[in-house]
Amino acid sequence: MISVLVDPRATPPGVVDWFALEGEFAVAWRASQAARARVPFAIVLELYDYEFLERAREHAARGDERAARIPFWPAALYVAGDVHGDAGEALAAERPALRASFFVPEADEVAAAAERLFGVLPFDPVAYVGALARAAGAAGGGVP
Amino acid sequence: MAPVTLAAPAGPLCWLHPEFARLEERQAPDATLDALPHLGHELARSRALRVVVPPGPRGQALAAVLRPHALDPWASLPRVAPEPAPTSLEAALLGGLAEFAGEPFELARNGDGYARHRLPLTRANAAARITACATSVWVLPVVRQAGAHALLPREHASLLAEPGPFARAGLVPFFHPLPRHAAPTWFGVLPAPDPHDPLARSQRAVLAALHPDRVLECESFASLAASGADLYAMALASLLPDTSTAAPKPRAAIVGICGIDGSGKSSHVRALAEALTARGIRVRVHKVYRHGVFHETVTALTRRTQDPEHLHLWRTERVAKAFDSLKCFTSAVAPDLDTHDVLIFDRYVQTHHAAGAGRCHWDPFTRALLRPFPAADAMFLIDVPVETALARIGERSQRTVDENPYMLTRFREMLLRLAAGTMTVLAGSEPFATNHARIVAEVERMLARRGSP
Repeated sequence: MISVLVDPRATPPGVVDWFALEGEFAVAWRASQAARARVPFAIVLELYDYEFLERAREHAARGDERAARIPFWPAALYVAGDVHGDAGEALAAERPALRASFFVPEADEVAAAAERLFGVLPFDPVAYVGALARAAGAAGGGVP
Repeated sequence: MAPVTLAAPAGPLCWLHPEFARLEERQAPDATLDALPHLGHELARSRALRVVVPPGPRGQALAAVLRPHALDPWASLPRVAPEPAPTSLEAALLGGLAEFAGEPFELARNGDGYARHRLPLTRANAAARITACATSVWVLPVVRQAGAHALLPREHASLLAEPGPFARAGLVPFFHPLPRHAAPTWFGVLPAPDPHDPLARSQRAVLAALHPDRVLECESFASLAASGADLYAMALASLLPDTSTAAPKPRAAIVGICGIDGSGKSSHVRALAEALTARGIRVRVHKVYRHGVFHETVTALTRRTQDPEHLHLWRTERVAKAFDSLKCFTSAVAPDLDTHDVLIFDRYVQTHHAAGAGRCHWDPFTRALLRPFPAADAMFLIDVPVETALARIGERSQRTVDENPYMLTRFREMLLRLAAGTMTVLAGSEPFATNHARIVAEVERMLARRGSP
């Protein structure tokens, strides 16, 4: 079972960063800034969720036993982004078995991390923190 | 700075049923539509600008299309409550549904809100309604009960047997609830999604009996909604300024060869690369449609679309594929733009445009996502009949999800439409050497115009 740390801050040593700022996802988003206003935020969040899925499947297929870090939890993103009719449920169903632990940050940490990764703020950071806290409570996977 | 207050323009319910549009009409119904272009520019300039939209699905969609233009999206346009305002048309309809337990009712304007009262389906009520049509709407809730697959109630069956009096009285069906993955702005206009469901057929029969002229529009909406489109949001977004910029012109010439699966394009790509390399031109071949973990993952997602309730995943599939090509471009292709004379692409962005429109009947944001790709200097389409392509595909070991007659026909139609005026179309039935010679000659002319080697 893959261990995933949900934390918008820096990646701890020994943990794989699935959304590194020099990685394919972030670099491609920076390149798409010219057309940013034509892509709904809901699509930005769905692509993030899809990237999470792909990295998780790749990690599992390789038998990689290292923990991984993602900056945001998709379900909390959809809530904070006022997104409806999304693919979140289907994407979550395709994930390999994983165990998520959550660091619940301050809203300004979330906003800063989102700006670094996406170049925009595609969700409400205050609402994200609330949704993440609820998800962490439900999963029983909080990180001090 | 005073906040800007916007009313939400009329949505699909009013597009389909003008009776609701007349009921909802305000003094300045187009004020929001007129304001959007300027507002988009203002949001991009000022963090201090605040925009107030009404609660409910239309307000949420309005805020969602404005936020990508804003310097401070969530300060300028805070999150919007999903429940419609009590004085809204949506709230009035939902209120009537609850108050009268699914029975028909009459809805009329009452100041800023609406008044409603029960009005059973009788011929006497229909006759009395003829003169009241202009100031009120007779609403027929068509409700899908959770888990129910039975036909409509008996009164609906009698309506279907003789719909004339009720159609003349302006009876308007209102479908509820929305299919699970449909955008909330489709409120009231979508019948149950599965056309094989007896309930879905009878719901459609109600609309056909009362307003046969609206059936095609309703089916179009249902098709778009099923594929994940929010037409209301798309219509609003089209009014906002397009601040996109074209990708800069690279040093390398861009050549693309497109075609449906099995058209022989990969063979032409290889032959062209060899011919140019033999002339001393620095050539690199690229494929931006990757295999491996990406392809396996997106295919797993695509399989879920076998369920009619998950057709919205086609949008996700197309967007994921377009973005993967962008990832491939920025990581693997971009470094070659300044170090090679010619980059040859085995498929280029047109394949995404054609596949998206072919599958979904609308562009699922692929054009916006693929803006960083530079315009091609030469594009070729190897056109073959679908039967020929399928025969060639059959010779391979594995077929993809889209390698079937219907999708390949749609894909081919879209490519041919895109090719008009922008691509050189070559008949795949011509001898390979003939097409190859044409491709090489055209690429050489293009390089000569560019002053390239």
